[in-house]
Amino acid sequence: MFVGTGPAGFYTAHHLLNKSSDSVRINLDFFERLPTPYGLSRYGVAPDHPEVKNCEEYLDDAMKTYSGEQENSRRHRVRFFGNVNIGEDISLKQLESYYNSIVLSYGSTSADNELNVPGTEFNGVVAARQFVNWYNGHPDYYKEDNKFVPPPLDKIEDVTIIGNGNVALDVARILLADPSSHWAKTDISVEALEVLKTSTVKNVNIVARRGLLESAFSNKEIRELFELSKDNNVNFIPLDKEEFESLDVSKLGRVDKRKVSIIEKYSKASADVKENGKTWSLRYLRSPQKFAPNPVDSRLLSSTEFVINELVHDPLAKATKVKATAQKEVIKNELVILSIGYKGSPLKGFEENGILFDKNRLLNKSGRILSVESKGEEDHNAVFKKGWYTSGWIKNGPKGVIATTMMDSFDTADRILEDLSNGIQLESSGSDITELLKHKTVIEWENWEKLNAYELEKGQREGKSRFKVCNANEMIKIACK
Amino acid sequence: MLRSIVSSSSRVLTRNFIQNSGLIRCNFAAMPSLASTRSLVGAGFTRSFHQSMPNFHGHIHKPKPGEELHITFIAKDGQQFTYEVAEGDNILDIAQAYNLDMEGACGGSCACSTCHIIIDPEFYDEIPEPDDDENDMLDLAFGLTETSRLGCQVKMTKELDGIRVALPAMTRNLQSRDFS
Repeated sequence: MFVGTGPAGFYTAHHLLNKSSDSVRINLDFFERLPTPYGLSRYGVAPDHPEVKNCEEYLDDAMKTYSGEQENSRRHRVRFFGNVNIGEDISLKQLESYYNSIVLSYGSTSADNELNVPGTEFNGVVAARQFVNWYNGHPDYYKEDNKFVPPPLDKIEDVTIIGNGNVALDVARILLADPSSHWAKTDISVEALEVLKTSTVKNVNIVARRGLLESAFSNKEIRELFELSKDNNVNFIPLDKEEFESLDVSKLGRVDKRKVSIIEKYSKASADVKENGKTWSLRYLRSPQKFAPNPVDSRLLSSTEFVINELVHDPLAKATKVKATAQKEVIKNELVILSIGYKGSPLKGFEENGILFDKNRLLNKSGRILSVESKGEEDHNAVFKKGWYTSGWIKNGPKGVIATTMMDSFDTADRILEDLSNGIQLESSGSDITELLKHKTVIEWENWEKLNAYELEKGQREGKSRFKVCNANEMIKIACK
Repeated sequence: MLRSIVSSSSRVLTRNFIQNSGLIRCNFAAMPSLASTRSLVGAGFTRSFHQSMPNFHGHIHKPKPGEELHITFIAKDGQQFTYEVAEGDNILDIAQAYNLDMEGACGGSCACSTCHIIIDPEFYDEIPEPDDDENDMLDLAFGLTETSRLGCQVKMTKELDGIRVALPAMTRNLQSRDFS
């Protein structure tokens, strides 16, 4: 059984179902905390990347092939239980008695990396994860009693995004691209779209503590932002020539070489400035030191003070670190969005079940979860938590694109198949877990299909690829009609 | 005993074959599986055509008699499979029709790198150059080489008759930037 139905969950399941030997019949249950499947594909991937969401077909196909009527006569059986929170509705201890193997693939999206700088508690400093969840319509941000209040974009001109990974660039696109022509047709939250339409944001700077070569974005995302600038009356403020001259391009690998050439090319192209356009820039070697609140409006900042860094290369450790100089720079901004990484959290019951969780992820070897009896992943005599596996971000930490997660999930699935072939599994009582769910509103696959049809149909009427229902109770009402 | 004789002699053959076909030039040498003897014992050293019927309900076409093109896949474990295919079909569709281990997570829309393949250098230049979109995705691929392409973007043509492509082995904890 699987906890979590994002890419890590469905890729691992796909591999299990397709690679198990012919004599093996797998009964596979997916558990999902939310009423909707697909995890970060639905709630992380940007609304203007619909082609990336095609990966959802892997789950759809598994459900289509192995569930529904006469499911007992099919080769495997797959079920989906949405709106069930493992650790709360069903304890980990209970799970163990129903299944032979358990895969934890619930992601690392419950918390944010913290920035140790005075002022992060101000309203004008927002975590990118919250911003993303808001525009992607995540139910945790659309609760009746606890609704996320987005920053007042109609009062803001200058935004600084700290961190330059792909999430940072997603956020930059949200702020820079035209809401009506670029975003309206996507599955972006309708409420978020209305706020974006009132936005007065003019300048976005993306600031990173290290240099250009250490940029965390992928070449695809940066090129996309450049291309989008051309079509959306947006100007890129070119990097200084010195940034390129100091680089020895001949020593770079293919990916870095291309990164430099893309930025160089568009730096030249953006020399002709569009009048009244929005602007964006890439700023390097700057770490925030202090956020200054806006004296008039407590929802906003007035500026942020940065210290200027220099790079320290350590060729032996193959690491590039930064050292602060004495120089400072103050950047005017009413809003700072922190895009410095996600964090995973343990499920309730890890400790009492002897599951080793440390540094925001599950400790494991190739996907086999380690028991607290192990000293860590380097332990030569590591003890596994028999029958427990992990895949995706909660296995590796929150990094990597979907293809990375896919390859890595297949690896976990192979370990499960090996163990099953060798009799390494939990003793299951053979009872059906649904006996624990009688008093719970469970979203089964056919319920989700109803909600899916509703969202697609309503989206079509409104000229959107999908109209996302964002409130969980509303979702359940539509799904269980 | 018989087995060991077979494998030692075939290992020599493999090495010669690789050198002759120029494969040693690229990162194929880094793929331990390529020289595996299983490929020789299993699939046969001469190009034997795989007998299993493709899944034609997918996206590939039946080649017209006399116009068959040939493609050989080298699987992660070194096994080789050769198929007769039609002009115009792309390599991802072909691999999937024959149930090889190649995924197309984005549905062949050049939005992921899951159908990454490594092309025989002898044929690499016969394929039209990758566009920016494909390069973007290749930059994210595991085990990127100088002759890497995405299977969904390479269509079979007469020039590619006899092409060999390798499926990259899973390389854990390796970032694309580790390759140059």
